[in-house]
Amino acid sequence: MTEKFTKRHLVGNHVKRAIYALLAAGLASLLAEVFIRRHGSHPWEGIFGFYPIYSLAACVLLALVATLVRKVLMRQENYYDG
Amino acid sequence: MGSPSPDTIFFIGALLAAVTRGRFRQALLPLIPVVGILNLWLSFPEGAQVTAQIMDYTLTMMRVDRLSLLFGVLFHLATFIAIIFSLHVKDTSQHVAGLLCAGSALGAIFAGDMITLFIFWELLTVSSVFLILARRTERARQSTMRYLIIQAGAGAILLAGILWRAHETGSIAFDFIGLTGPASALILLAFGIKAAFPLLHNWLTDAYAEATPTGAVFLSAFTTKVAVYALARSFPGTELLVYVGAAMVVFPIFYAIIENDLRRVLCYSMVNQIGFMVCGIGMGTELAINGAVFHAFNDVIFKGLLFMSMGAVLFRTGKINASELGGLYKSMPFTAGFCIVGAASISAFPLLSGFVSKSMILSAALEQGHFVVWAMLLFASASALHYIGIKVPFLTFFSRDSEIRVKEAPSNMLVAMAIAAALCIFNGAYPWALYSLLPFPVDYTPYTAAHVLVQTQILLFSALAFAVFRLTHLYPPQLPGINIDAEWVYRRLGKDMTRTLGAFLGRFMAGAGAGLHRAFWKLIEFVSRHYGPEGVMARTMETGSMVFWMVLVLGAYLLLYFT
Repeated sequence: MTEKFTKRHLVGNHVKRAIYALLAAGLASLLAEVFIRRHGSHPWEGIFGFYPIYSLAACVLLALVATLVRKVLMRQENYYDG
Repeated sequence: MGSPSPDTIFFIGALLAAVTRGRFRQALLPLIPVVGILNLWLSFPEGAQVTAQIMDYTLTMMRVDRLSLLFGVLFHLATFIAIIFSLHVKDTSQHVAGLLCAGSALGAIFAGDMITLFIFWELLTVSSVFLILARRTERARQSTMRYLIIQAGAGAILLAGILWRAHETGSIAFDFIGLTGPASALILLAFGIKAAFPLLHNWLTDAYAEATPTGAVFLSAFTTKVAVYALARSFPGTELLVYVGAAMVVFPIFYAIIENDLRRVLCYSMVNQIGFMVCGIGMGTELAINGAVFHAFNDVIFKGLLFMSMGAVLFRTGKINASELGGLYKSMPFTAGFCIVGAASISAFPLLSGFVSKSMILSAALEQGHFVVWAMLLFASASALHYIGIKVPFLTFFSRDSEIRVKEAPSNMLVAMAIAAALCIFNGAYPWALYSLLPFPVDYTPYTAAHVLVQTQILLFSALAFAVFRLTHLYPPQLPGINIDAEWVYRRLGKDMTRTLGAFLGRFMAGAGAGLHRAFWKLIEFVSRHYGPEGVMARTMETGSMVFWMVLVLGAYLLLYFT
């Protein structure tokens, strides 16, 4: 029962809906950039969609590096107790 | 001036907490910071000073200016919230230690000279120790010892710096010092240890995570923030701090995302947030300093809120590892809600406090042309949603069902969290109230359409990445275990080296001891052979033989003399 519940919970319809909503909101915010002008003091800031791209890239980098870091640094919980 | 100094009120409060019990104490404790703030407000206007003459030195016990006043207000507020949060605690030592901590922190920030600062600095160290020790576990005891050694070490370095500087310049003023020579470097190092500079930061992740659920709330408010204040006072515009701060902002993120102990996640996040402040202090412009100080204020509140929510979870479930928690929103809906407000604040959602102060520091970095640093800070802003904004509330209250069923947090905890959450919203939606308290006049408009849009984009795409990672299992899963950090040097390498050296010395000493033992017995044997009852020297001789030997010696003498 719990197994079923968890599974449904993870990839159920409402999660899919939430992701679509996020995607839609993301695209809308990207589109809004056309109307709202930014006065950046750095040339990168002038690039269309700079912040969303940077944000996505940051998150991908974070997940990949963290996975690598964990491989190198992770130890048993009692590592320091020995 | 006849009024008691702000710290005195808390020291008297600690005394009262020690001798009272039960309901009476519960009614008394929240009044202490209220009396404190009224006293501060009525008796110590901006510019007030209290001095005392001790031997050849004039000590400035109290110096009230915009910077110290802001931290003074903050510490009163933080104490009030932390006291409410810990009202249910019956352990007297924790109440006393908490109030002593608050008093020492106030004494330190209002200190006008380095000697007064040093005294309160050390008092803060000693009183905070009991908040960790009160957990009464072996792990906490060991962690306390490490904390004490590191903090006392920082105190010794600070004292050395103060004395050296006093010898060099004749000044003990707690004002702008700047990185000018070895004496100031020592002072900076001491501040840096307490501010959890990279590689010196592990006392924080170690001690706060082992403190009692309520003790961590006190600790998180005072210890590092006193150091941030001291840096803002003595080292604004020190360029080194920009880079130190940038490093502090980035490296803890990777640790936070793979850390299993959720309070330790908050500790890494704290190092990251202090990094923002250190960066701002290093830049030293009015906007940057304002941003750093504002961020310190907000961090005490939202980090306090997160420590409170995790403290409540630990208090109710006895667990704090992400791998053992999940699905608690049904049992603790209010705690979950407050935790989300804190997490959204730290992730800089518009209308919440982090949004305003973080962006002030980012803007200052751009203004000063620190592009690389700006990119690093932006990276941290984008990933904040992952490593804390989503991670902490999601894994505790949602995600999988851990089948833990507990009661909601006690009402005093909920009230404390509600106050902190309200402050997060207030400082985000109406930053102008706090703007009027900042050290410099503020010329910064946080709520422009472009800025709100940028932050919304960052958050939306970060959340999208999180969702996709979760579904594709790219996101590092929560696994039980610990991650090696700089503390490895003293917790493992140092231990191993001491063990190896000990074993070597032990063997050497045993060998040397056995050698000495043998040599000693040989000597005894030698003496006993010659002088013992059977020995050649112990023989009784006849008188005749003595005459014989004398004649022989005399004869030999005569022979030698005449030849």
